[in-house]
Amino acid sequence: MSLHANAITVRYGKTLAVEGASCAIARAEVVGIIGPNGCGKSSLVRAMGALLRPADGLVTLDDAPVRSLGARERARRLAVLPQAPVTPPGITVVDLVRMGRAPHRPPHAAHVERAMTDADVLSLRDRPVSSLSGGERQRAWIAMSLAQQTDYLLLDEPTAALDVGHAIGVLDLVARLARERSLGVGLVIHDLNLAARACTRLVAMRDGRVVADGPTEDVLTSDFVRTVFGVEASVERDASGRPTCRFEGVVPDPRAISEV
Amino acid sequence: MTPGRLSSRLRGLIFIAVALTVLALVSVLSIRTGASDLTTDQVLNALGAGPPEPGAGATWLERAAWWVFGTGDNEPTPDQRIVWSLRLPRTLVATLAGGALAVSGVLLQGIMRNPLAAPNIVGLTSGASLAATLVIAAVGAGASAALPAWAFAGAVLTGLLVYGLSWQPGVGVTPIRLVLAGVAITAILSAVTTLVMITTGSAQAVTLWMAGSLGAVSWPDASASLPYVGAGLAGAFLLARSLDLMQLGEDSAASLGTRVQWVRFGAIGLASVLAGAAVAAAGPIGFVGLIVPHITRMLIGPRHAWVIPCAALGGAALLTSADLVARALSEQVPVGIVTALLGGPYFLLLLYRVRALG
Repeated sequence: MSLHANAITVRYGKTLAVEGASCAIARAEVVGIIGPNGCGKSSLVRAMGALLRPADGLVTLDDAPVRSLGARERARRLAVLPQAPVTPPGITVVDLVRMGRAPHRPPHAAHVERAMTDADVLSLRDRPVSSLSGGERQRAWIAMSLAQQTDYLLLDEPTAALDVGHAIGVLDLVARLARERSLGVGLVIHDLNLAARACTRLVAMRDGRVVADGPTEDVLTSDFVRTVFGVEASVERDASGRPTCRFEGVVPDPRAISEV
Repeated sequence: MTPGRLSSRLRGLIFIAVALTVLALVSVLSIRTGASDLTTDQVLNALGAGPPEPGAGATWLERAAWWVFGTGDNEPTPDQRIVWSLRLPRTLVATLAGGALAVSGVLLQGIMRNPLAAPNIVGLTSGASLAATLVIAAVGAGASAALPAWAFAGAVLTGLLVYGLSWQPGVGVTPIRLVLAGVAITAILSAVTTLVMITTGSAQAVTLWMAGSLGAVSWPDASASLPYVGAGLAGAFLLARSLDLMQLGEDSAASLGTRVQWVRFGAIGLASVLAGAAVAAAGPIGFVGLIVPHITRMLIGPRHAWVIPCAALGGAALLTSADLVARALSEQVPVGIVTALLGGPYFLLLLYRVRALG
């Protein structure tokens, strides 16, 4: 039982964004999708979320091709939170979260309350979303995705616009929900140390291909950071084995580095 | 965007009550006004007495009105004839056209998420105008029987054309392409219209039609547009939930189970039918389709299940009022000018007073 991308290729016109990428997200795990800018992370996530049609390959949701599911049926099992969602002017937090119930009939109010509680936005329920801080707004959107009550949740850079405190708040929330609700989470993330904190597994991409896939502590090594990102880093591990990177400098000529 | 603390439901109900009251008052005033002015009592008595028995060439709508409101009295008074046969259709067409244009604008703004989207900006009105111009140039303004049908076809075909030109394989249509294709088509169609007007010497007749006039409308206009307006409004209401979700952006809407491309296609189709029916009956009246949706959203919030019926009534109230004012000024003043003069300042006032428009 997983959300599975199988040899996905994505093309925009003649540009190849993703080339034969495979990865899987199981229930109750948080998978970080990492890699340099333009490596195809977002395209892979959009293909997995059925927001775009891959040129080749197949995405399956619990063994059924994701594009063969009806739009509403898919929306009850898989939620995607895009990188920069559009907040309609004037919409309140509770109205936004209610939209998460759209694929369900009838839209039980109890699920809306619970999603707001889980995402810690209950106290903001009647505030306009546009008046919230970046962190609060991101939590409101996550509450909307939670109200969708899916088995899988894909987040495209949920922490991109957040300071470190709010970023940790959002990621810890997601990690806790994955554990407690058995939610399968895939998230695109740039900050490797935040990724190490939140993710049970990392999928690394470069130039449209998946170049590493494994438990966070196995993937994140100084070799890996050098070859994928072209950055010299020393990676330390704390008592629980969680890696932390200390970045030292950019490798002078990343193209000289051997292929991973 | 959320003035006061009233719930959107209460605000919607207040809006509907006010719009209906204005519509009723203005309708009575409008029916009073004409070649021979009637008193309010005369109007109400004549309305209460029901329509005269329809003759052989009567439209289905007149027959329906007689069937529902007819009192069986075979000797209609002159007041009854004036009110039911001459003046009521004008008010009815103004109501239908105003509501249709406003909801057409709601649909277009809803799928394009662009505040400037409106039936006359994405080419629907220009399509109707070109078709009408061709008819006038070919057979003269007098042969107006065929004109509404051509104008309607012009609007719907233009809607399909703009949709087709915006469509990209693998992507579908995107709001920005719809807007740009619409603007380009508007420019081309307007140029061709002017060219036809000048080269065929039909400029005067066309200009008269283009100003948007309710002076010549009668029962055939009302009965021809009613089914399309009714179907368009019903269809728009069915799309309300999807339009709400579309406001979250294409990806979020799709992630919530909306078939984005079908909603866009449906909304453009319905907007074309609504605008086509309105322009066919009343000429290309501008401004209602642009401003009424904004006024409605500012007053009652973003939920389309409320915005659509409120905009329909608001558009109807605005256009009937504008028609009344236009006639009070002079029979020559086009109603389109008055909609702008009435709606514009009110819109600016709202813009100034309601902060969070964006």
